[in-house]
Amino acid sequence: MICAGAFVLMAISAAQINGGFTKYTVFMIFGAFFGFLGDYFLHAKGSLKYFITGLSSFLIGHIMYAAAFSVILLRDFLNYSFFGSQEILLYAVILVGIPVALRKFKMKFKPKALIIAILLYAVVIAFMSVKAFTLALYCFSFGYEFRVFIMIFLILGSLCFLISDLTLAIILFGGKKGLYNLKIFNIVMYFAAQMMLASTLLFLS
Amino acid sequence: MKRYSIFLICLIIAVLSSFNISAFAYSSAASGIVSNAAESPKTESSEIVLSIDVTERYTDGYNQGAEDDGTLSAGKIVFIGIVCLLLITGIIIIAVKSRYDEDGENDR
Repeated sequence: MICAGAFVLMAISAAQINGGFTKYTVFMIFGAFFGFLGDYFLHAKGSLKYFITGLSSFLIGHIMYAAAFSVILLRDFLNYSFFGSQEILLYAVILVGIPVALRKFKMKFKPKALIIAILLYAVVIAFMSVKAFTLALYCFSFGYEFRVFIMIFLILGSLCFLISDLTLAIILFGGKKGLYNLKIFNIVMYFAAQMMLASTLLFLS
Repeated sequence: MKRYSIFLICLIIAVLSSFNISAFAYSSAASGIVSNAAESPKTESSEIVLSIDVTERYTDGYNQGAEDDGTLSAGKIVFIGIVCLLLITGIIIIAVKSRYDEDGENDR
């Protein structure tokens, strides 16, 4: 919880450094805050109720992040189309990869209805990642100041989030609960993702 | 300057607590050898296979450092994880410094 709290404080202090609160910073701070809540609910108890609440918190957090990225894309880039063909292609690649991963790691869901919640979550995190990738590429190609840092933090941050959630799904539903090395990998990926996404607030507002 | 200090303190807290959590997971992995072995007789036949498999992996990782099945041991994952986090922290600190220098130039 200390770590998750530190991400929220990192996001707030980065926003302060970068000149205060804008739509982007508010969405990002709320995204980090819902990540904090999700972290709490996923680790507080092992029950299904807490798992669903934690999953919902992360889901809202990802929606906040996606909204933050979309705010800058729509505000700063006049030629940006919200449903561009490249974005749809990238989105399709990620979405095709999800059932492949489900099958490859032989994931089983109990109760069965849980798969709907997991798929919804997968769709939202894929959407967030696509928006992060697009924003990174736009900032880079339009010569934003500190574009290299923006690109590293956005692309690596969202990629680490994708890998972290895939690992968590393998641990929880792929019968790998006893594998602590996967758990450690999951923790590292998650922390790296949150740290990098919070750091984007140093340069984007 | 104060705002940058707060950001860096938060960064350090986040990194240190993530090390702490990784170390906790690592120590759980070590104790998992004992608990898995103790729990296996009580479980159903299909679960016993999983328990033995897991125990063997940890034993390999801790005692010999061997990777017969291609998976990395918990110890190595912790080491790689710490290196990755330090690398990312380094990049963030460089980013903060660049931002700080830029602010300094603007003030002048």
